[in-house]
Amino acid sequence: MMQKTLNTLIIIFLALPLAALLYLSAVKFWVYPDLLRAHFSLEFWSGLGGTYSGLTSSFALSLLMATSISLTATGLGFFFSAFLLLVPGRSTWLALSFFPYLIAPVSFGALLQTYFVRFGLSGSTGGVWIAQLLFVVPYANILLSTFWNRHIRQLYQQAITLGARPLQALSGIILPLAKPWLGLSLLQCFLISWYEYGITRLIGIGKVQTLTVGVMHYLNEANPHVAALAAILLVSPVVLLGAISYIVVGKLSLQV
Amino acid sequence: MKKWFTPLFLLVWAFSCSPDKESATSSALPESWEALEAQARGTRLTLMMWQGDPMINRYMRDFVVPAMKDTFGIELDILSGQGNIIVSTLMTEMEAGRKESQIDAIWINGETFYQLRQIKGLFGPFVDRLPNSRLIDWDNPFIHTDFQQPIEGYECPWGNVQMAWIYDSSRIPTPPADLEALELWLRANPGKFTLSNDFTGMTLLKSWLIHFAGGRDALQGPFDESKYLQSSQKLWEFVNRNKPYFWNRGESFPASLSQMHQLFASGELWFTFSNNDAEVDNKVREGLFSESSRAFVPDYGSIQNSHYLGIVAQAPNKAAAMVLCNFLISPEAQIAKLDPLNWGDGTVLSPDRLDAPWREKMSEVGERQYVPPRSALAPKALMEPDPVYMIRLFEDFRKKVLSEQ
Amino acid sequence: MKSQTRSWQFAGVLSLYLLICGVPLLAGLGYSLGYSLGLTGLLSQGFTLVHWQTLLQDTDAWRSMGYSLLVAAISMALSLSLALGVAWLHELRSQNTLRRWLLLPLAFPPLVAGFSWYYLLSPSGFLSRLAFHLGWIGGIEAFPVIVNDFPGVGLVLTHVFLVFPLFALLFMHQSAKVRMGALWQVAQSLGSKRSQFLRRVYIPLQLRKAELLIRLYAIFLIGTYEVALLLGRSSPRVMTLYITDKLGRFNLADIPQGHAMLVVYILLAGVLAFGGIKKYRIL
Repeated sequence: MMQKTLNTLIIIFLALPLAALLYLSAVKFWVYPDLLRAHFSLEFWSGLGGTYSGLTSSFALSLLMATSISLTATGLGFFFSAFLLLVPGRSTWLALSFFPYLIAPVSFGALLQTYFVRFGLSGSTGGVWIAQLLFVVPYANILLSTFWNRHIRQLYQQAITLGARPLQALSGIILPLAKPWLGLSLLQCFLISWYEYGITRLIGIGKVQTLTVGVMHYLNEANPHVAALAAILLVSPVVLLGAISYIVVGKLSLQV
Repeated sequence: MKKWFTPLFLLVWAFSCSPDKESATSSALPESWEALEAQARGTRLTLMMWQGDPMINRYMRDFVVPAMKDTFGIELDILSGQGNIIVSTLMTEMEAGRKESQIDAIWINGETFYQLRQIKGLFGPFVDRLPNSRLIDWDNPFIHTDFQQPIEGYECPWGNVQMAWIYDSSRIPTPPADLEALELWLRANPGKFTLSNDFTGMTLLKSWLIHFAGGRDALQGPFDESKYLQSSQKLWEFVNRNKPYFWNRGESFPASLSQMHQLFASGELWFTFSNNDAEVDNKVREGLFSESSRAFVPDYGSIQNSHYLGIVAQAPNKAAAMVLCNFLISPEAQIAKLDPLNWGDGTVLSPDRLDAPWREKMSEVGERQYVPPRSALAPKALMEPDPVYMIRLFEDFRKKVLSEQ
Repeated sequence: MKSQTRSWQFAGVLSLYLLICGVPLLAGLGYSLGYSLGLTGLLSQGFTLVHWQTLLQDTDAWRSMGYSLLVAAISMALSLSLALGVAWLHELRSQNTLRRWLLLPLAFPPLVAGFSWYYLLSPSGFLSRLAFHLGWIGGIEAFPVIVNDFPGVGLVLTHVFLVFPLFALLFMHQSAKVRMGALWQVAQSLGSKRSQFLRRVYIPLQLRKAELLIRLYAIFLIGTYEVALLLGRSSPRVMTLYITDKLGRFNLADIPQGHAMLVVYILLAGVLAFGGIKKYRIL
């Protein structure tokens, strides 16, 4: 009984923010203590096609950016993680990859900004893409390095000893085994890019309007209702993606 | 492998510190205005401005952007960024030695003007070259002087406003007219008042500082350390004495004006402020503030100031930036902006210098509903003191108010 | 000939790795260090230690560092306790519904989580309105201030919302992997009490296995920005806010100090990540 109550409480705790967003996006003139009886309105939602159409294009931009970053970073990350096995002093080199992820994105952006400006990359979608990649690739590298445990390494060596070419060994034996890791990396890298605000704001100087930048814009405009709407757009694909990948994640060893 | 790190680090550092500064580009601008307009036609222009108000954003999006495109063939992009972001963006560009900025024109006021002059970030003088600049009310000290600094053609006046207090008349029939009354009111209504830890909050503190310095003209002229120390001591005493009756017991302050507005809208605060005396009309119309909201200026006055348009020293498209400035100070654009239905921003033009039809149009602009007319507020207008006062207030507010818990 | 090509390829790939994963950070760090020492910057006047001296004497800076560490520590401790508890209950009886719900916060970027919790917890927010309608409070004033407050209740709660589910899922997974249930049965048959088992086996085992992730998330929380921006206090403020304030506020003379603090922050993150550890399992 107690456990059930506890479970319910935790589920409420987990679900409250999403409920709050849905509510806020469907109400206006929200004066205290309005709650169940309030000015409900779908005007903000219908505004998606007109007044707030900027949000729709931000959505598309974020989607494109996160997908391409996730694919590129996972590819590069896997390549580097395999390559580093050949490098003496692997752990020292790998340690470098920890840093970008450890530092708050907004600080990382502040560190990078001057170089991006110098190379003419600030204020462009390409610049933001590269900046995000510098942040995401090290993460993918770290995550995928966990895949290369002793067993996998031995398997690879064995294949080579038995005469397989490195590429053959990789595509025939290693890649199938790495599938769940690659899946997790794709998902995580997508999320990091999808959520990113600090770097995008600094390097994009507002010219690159991703969805997070849009959410902040409406927050600054003192309009919580549109901000909530934007936030739902930000959360919804991930909820869907999460539902789909639930099976993958459920099976996967979360040993990052 | 570790031995690699030191040389790598040094290399990177040497690279990062290499002096690479170059002087501003001065692509020749044509002499005649017609030629300048022709040069600007078919180009893209980037304006960076504060975008914290939906009405202002709508005015820019629905009126200015289409007009620039249709009349002058200029594609106007607007980026979000207020003073500090403008300064840090431009500084980073200059430090990185970029010859061309990402930004052409900027919306600024006194303290940003001061900072940008410090780092030579502004192009000019250019205002005299704008044909419409002859219509500006140059006799008005609130326009030709910005935070005690002569503008010298380096920024173009765009609008003129006065700070106002916004309150809900259904809750507060008579708002406190002076600081003594405010003190009494705070004790009777604890938790309903605060100020934001941003530009607007500091503007309120400036008006109090002027009051404690002796009123109206006490802080005219360049920054005076002894005057500041004397008057600010009284100011901090006043704030700290009353802080326990502030919102959240004065333990924290809203970070931005938009947060203040949201707290006011939900009824948590009973006062909010605006640097634009007409904003209350906008906010009621937007459905954010209740219809019983009103604006007023207390007896000791409030800061009146102008806001300006500047052109970045390294702007790649100075010609189009000048066309934009000239358009924004045209009677057409200024009257549209003056209308409370659009923005409600005070004009910088002198009605006497306008042709009769424009003068008539200007006088026909809709009345403000929830705030007394400008002429009634003007006698209580205070000039902006030297920008150093603002910098010091910001620092000391943190040291003497926020940290003293 | 072939081996020469090989070693060129090797060097090439290694350089590419460095270019992506090492150089940007080191270059940025070098720039900030140079800026803080007066070696670069528009208003710099040559080498000076004055900005570092100012920073060292600035109590505000140290308070902000202490506050960041404290908030991160409390958030982490609460998240871990809750996660350990939930995973233990799951071990006793499988909680598949809860497991699914635990994935939801993973869909929330910190910015959105901060925004929603602000509207839930503020005095004019959802919970306050609910309490009002239930007759528990008489109005806004009676609702406790838990946003932008000193103990940082709202801030910590939002962190817990963001971090705890991940650890709960991780601990559930680890439990399954080491067959915690079976271990508990053996311990029970040997006469061990539940508290003993939890204290001596369950908790140490879980925490040790998750050590790397715990460190990483603690450092994450020290670098909190968006959540602190919405739910934090104006003073003391967290380190990232101190830095952004100094880098982009009204006093241009403060910028080198902001860079100095940035250097301190990065070194701190490095020490916390790698300090006292010879080798991570995965390295």
